[in-house]
Amino acid sequence: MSVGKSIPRVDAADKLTGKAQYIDDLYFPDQLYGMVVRSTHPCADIEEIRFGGEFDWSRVVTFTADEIEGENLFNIFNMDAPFLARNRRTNHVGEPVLLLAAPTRAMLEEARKSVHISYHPLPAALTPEESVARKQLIYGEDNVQRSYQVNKGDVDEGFRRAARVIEGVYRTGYQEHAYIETQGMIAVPDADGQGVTLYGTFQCPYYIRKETQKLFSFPPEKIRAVQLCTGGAFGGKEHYPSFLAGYTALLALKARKPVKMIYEREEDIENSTKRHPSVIRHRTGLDAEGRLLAMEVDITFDGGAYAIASPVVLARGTIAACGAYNCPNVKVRSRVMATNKVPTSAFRGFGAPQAFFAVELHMARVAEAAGLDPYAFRQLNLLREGDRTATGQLLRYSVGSHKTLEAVAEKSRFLELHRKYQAQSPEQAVRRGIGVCTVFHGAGFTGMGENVIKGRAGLGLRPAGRVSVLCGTTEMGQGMRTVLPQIAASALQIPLDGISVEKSDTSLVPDSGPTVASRTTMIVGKVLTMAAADLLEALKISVAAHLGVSADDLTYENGGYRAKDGRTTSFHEAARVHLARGGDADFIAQYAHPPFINWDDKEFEGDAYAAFSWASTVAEVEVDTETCEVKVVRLTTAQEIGKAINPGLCEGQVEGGVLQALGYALIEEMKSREGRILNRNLTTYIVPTAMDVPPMDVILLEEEYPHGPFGAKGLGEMPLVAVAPAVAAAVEQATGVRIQEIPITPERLFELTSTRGSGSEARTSEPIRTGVR
Amino acid sequence: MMQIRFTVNGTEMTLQVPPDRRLVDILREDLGLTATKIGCGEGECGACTVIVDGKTVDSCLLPACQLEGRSITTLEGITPAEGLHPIQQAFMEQGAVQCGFCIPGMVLAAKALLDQNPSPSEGDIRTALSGNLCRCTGYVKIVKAVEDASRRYGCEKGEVVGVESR
Repeated sequence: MSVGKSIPRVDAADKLTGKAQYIDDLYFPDQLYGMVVRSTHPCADIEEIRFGGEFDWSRVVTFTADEIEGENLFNIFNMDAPFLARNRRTNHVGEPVLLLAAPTRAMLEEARKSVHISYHPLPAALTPEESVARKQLIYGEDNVQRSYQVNKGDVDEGFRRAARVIEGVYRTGYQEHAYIETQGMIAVPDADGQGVTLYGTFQCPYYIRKETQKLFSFPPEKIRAVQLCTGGAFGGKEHYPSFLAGYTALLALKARKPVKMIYEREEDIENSTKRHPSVIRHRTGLDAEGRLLAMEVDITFDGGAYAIASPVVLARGTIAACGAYNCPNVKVRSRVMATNKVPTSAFRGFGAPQAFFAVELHMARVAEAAGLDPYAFRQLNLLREGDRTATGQLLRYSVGSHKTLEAVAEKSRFLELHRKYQAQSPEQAVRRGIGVCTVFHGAGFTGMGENVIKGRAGLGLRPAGRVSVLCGTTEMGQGMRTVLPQIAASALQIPLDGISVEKSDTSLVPDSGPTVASRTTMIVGKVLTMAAADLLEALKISVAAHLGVSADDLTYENGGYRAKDGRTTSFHEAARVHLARGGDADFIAQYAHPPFINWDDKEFEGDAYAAFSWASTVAEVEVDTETCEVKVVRLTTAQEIGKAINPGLCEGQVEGGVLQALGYALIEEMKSREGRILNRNLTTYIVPTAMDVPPMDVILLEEEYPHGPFGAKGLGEMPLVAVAPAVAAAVEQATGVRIQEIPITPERLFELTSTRGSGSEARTSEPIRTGVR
Repeated sequence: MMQIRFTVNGTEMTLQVPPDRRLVDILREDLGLTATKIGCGEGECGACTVIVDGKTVDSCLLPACQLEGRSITTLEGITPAEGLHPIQQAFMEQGAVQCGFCIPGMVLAAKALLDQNPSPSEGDIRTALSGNLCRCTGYVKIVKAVEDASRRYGCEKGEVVGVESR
């Protein structure tokens, strides 16, 4: 059985030899190049658009908002985002105003210079605070793109009974996906102009159709999306590519020619969606033993000018707000505010990196106030099987929280080193610290979302005994094209090389839901096992008829059907027989949650996810107190994911996610002025290189999820969630300063260490009581 | 326009191109060699890495007027007609490939390193790859792949090992 084996990925050879085709490698004869002309103001009315007489406009195609035949509306959640600035109002620097297409890039540039747009600038709300104060009204009556409340127990009572109350405020900034392949799309119009095919680099072919459908006068089924090999995504290609699909399709349908649009890096960094900056306030009450009694959390996310996926990012962040802890009384208030800046949206972790940074770093203070070391504090307070979460969800199964904590503590010698670094001499210039964090990540859409999506996927019998995996989820580097065949092969008990994955083309595969939310293995993999069961049952009936026996006389074992009289029929032969008898080739199954899963979206309580994965990370750092550089000297992480379908690929996901998280924690910072992002290229927005990788121990743990494919849960995002607070806590121990914001750049650390009092905030030699093991 | 004569993957050629045309565009558009990728256009990410006269170069920064007489190797140039180059094989077996977009540049950076230094230390490897950004892998398995490749390389420099993989 190939499940559980580190099979080399099936698409590696093509990528290694340069044969893999990415969107910029694809050319159509007589294609045009497309470009977006954008606003240069954070908030302004367009006074005039003038196509200058110095340029011969007959050579190019122009497209303005008034030419849209359908509705100028990006079809998602709040329905607040236009494709092109609407009603002459632009709401952020970079907002698309009009489109151009030309036969060469040089001509496109020339044309752009001859577009003259005059603006009347308006006051702009550039921070959530300014948005709350309504410096500019961008969304609805109050600029709140979405808000949620979580209420469990009675926090006021909890705080009354608390022996200690600890408060803290935490901030995180933007993060840029920095996928190495930028956004790109080619739109090819149907010959009759009543449909279009979009080729591109994206995570969700069916979102391309869904999110652009309002633009056109033809039905959605006439929008075909074909995903090519995709050079990284991380959520940045979840919804945003649908904007490029709209731009290129509008141009292509007008020009009656293919239109190709590939973003330059600066355009991509400046204009594609980002991770939500956050401000999160914590107030925590403990009893005398250090048990959590009350948690009150207030979350504000910066949503940018349009909501896009903000409602669901906030939802996930809200559910993560109280961390992986068992606390009887909880109150969470969260909101995402519209601002006159680039829209923020999906990015690996999806609200959880922000929430867990705040809660896990806050718990470092809370533990200290309780006189407990961080490990003992977590032993006392982490959720276990049988506990209820902050939203009241009963954890019925598969809870690896404590196991992950124990695993990393042991591997990293956490307690020993924590004590040792606590006792460092204050005179030491190069100082060490060690920190720990524990997180969860629910796979699949929040609440009943999966029951709304009704993801469909399946298996198709193909000639010569081959089987094709039919699913609408995509390969974006995570290994889907290897892992789903492993699941299918194991479910069918046939060799892996008999299975391939159909192209990610909406004309060829069903809508399995998007490739997001760490759901592909757990949800779509599960559906494949259901389809496999249906397929084997159908073959059994065909074989029985063929052999002239009752279907009950057949058993399927070792990849073949065995009759009571001893006759055997291999899977390959059974498939041939089935198809020869006119049987169905394709078996599609549909996902539904286990029936006991119940989420009340209005009250925001109940079962948030069908299963949680769990992770703990220990980060050991060395800080040069003179240069304020932080070096991670060791990182140990344990990720409990139900079942590692392909351990090697799981490790790869963890290693990559951890490094993105280290970037988030230490070096990735996006600065802006007057609503314009300042660091717009990879020279100034720095991401980790091969020299920034700490020695890393990756431990995979498995607590079977009974409703997952072979027990598997989700993994993709969790590695990025489970790092920053451990690093911050380690830096705190090393330096004695309070970290409240990431990234912990040398500049920020310098400011913190140079403005503190004469050792007043430094750690005293207060004894730390270690907890009971 | 200017005429330049240079060698790509062992084949000498003469082209008429504008003097400021980037090498990466000559390779991808004029010669149809699309393995070399464009990631940033300003020499930061290394996706466009090629080998020029034995050294790695960001081809997005090299204009045509600097190509006269040079010898350029792209990923297509080291890929055998069948099977994989030892470095490619090592990347495959160590699980060093995820989305693949950094891979052409990484493989060539590895080759340039191993051609100079057949037994690099881990630090040598990280330094040699420091100009190639990867956002997927965390570099862990890439570094392991180059270490693995250096062991194979010593024995089979330039020869193909392993069977063709799917």
